[in-house]
Amino acid sequence: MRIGKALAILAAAAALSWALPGQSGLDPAKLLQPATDTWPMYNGDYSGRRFSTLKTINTSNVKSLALAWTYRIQTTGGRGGRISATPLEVNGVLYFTIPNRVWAVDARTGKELWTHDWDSKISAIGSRGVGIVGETLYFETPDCNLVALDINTGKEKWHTSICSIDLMYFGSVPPIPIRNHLILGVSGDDMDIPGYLESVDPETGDLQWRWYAHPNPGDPEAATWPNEDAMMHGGGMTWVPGTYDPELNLYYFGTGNAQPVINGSAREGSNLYTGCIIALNPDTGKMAWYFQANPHDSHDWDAVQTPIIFDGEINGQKRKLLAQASRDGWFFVLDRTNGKALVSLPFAKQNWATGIDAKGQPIPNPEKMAKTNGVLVAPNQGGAVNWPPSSFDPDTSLFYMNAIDTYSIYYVFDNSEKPEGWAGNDRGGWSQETLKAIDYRTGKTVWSHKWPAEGGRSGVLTTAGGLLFTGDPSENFVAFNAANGTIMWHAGLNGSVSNGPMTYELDGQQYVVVAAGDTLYGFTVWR
Amino acid sequence: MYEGAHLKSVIFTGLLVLSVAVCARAQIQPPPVDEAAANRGEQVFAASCAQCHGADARGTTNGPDLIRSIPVLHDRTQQLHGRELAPLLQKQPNHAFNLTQDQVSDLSQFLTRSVNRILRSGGYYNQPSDLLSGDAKGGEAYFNGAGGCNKCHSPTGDLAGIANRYPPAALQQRIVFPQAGFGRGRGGAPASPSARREVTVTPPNGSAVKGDLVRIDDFSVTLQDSAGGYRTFSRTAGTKVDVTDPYAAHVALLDKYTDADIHNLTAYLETLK
Repeated sequence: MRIGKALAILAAAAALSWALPGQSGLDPAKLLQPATDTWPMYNGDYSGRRFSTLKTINTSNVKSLALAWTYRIQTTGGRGGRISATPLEVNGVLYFTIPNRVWAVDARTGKELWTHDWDSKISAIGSRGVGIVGETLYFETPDCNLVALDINTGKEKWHTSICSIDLMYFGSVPPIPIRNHLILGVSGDDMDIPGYLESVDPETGDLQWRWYAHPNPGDPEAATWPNEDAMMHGGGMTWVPGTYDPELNLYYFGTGNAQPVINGSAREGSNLYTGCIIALNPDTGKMAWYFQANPHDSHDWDAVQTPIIFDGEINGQKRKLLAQASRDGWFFVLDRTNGKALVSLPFAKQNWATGIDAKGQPIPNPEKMAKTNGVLVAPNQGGAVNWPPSSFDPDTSLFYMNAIDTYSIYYVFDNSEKPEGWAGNDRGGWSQETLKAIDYRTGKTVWSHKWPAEGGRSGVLTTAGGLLFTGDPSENFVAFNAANGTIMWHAGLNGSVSNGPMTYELDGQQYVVVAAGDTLYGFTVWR
Repeated sequence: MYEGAHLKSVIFTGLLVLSVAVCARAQIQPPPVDEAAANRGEQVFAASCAQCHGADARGTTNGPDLIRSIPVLHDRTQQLHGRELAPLLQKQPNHAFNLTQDQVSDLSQFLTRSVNRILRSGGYYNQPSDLLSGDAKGGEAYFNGAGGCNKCHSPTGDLAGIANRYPPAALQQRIVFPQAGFGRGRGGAPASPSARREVTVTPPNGSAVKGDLVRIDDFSVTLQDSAGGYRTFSRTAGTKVDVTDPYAAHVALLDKYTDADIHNLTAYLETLK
């Protein structure tokens, strides 16, 4: 397999010598620069802020923001026809996915350049996009493969297995490049299987290290599980790409909910390292610290929401910070050098935690764990936020998210001694969606905008033009004044925003790109 | 992460990166099961396997959990009908079973069905139970007291015979989320037809128009008036929009209910035959 792959690489290298001149792929230096003419990775840059320094489109001209182009994908049917991916933009080309297909689309015109189909053996619920190193594009397939394509032609270079479909893992996570590493997450929560994060060699796909979301048997943290069997089947998927601090050389990411999902009676304890924010060294895969955002989950609330990193001041002291609006309804600000909590406060309705412990971690209320006859819990299983990305704007010092106040009733369906899989679920629901701007220093809401309709989840983008872009629960793409929450502009789309919006500037022309269902929309203010 | 775990992971995945798969869908569709074969396989399992692996295949102290068994899951996902289980049944320690090919295939179908039934994606058993464990008297007191339900409802009026119309699971959901319905979690449920909200729109310098709310966002509002006509108003400056939620009292209770209140109310309304 590896020899075949090496031959494929040689062949690809030979083919490239005849490739079009001037298409030199992604310059690695772009990974460490603010995203302007390039959006080189899922969040635009390693910080996860989803803040662009571009200000060609700004509060004074956003009223003239107009549709530049649309691109509607042709799908092969079934689930996954929704674009959840944040497109990457490299050398004037947008690259994005649905679970079984990759596209290259001209970033100035929205015209298709190539597509690549993956004949997946299974279908899965989403694909959040691609990663790029040099001339190679990488994506995870639903059936557990990492596939490497030539970014100029869309032709496969090689593929390699990264998980097991027999055990009901699947691939959906955009790979994140860090030097000679490609960081990969895995998905799946039907089966009681351990989550992991791994690093592979971008040239060969060879495994460099794998970090499991559970302690080693015998570690002190193993005592957070009743036994080794429960621990080795304890979940903690790595659904969403993380962030990276090059100075500290630490990669930050969240882990998913513990398994079995709803009936946690056979896994007493806090269940490390599920529901955690993790910092690890990307060269070795060694964990530096953890913070458990959701100890002993029993509501399907993963803690995989982007841990956004920025430097700030708390109580007059300059700090290297990390902030997460977590699915369980809590907002955390940590010192990212050591994982110590500085702020732990709910940002949406929650009734499941009785308070916080000495580490700033919420303390779950046993009375709000699912029961056979039902327990009313806030938030519902979908959470106060979910995977759609939040944003941090260094100009306003505000953290923005589409927060959801919601209740549902959680039931245990399988009350046997050894529940497996889900063993329960939530039912019913009421919700109120609100765009919130939070002061990271206090966790308090500075402004908020209640959406008049229910449903929908959209990511958030902020820019140095003083703007915040997001989708409403209806079918509008909306621009706010990021400082005060005033609506500045909107456009009606053919569906609800289904990804995190992104932006780039080419030839002095700034574009804002967003997906709604099966269509990508490019907006600009024509100069 | 650590040497030991890594080694384990290599073995763990190495066992599984074996084969060409057929159609199975993660989190969506389980492999199909031939029920007659699974029933026959259940007999084989009861006779040869259950003693160690447990009647429901979840394992005992004498034998591992087969629902989480790598060979069983491989057989299931790849729909191998026991082809790779057969040698294990003969050669594994304590497994000198002389089963026919058909028996092994039936056993495979039984185990596939067992995995399907236990896991969510397989259409697991998903019914609440013990729903009448509450105190009906306490529910009645809450109905007429703290809950304030009697301000709008009557056990001899609109709720007379309600227990005959809904089973307890649906009844409990209708008490707490009357605007939704049983069977929806995650992000709530769409409003039922009876959950129409009334809206009054007063344009600047215009007269108020009332109707059923059809659609609303920050920029426009659409209503259906009493004559059945649809009217959309732009929400320009000075346009007044008032939405009346008929379930506002239910929503207000969400922040106040104890779980006992909900269980007691369910038990009480279930007495209204």
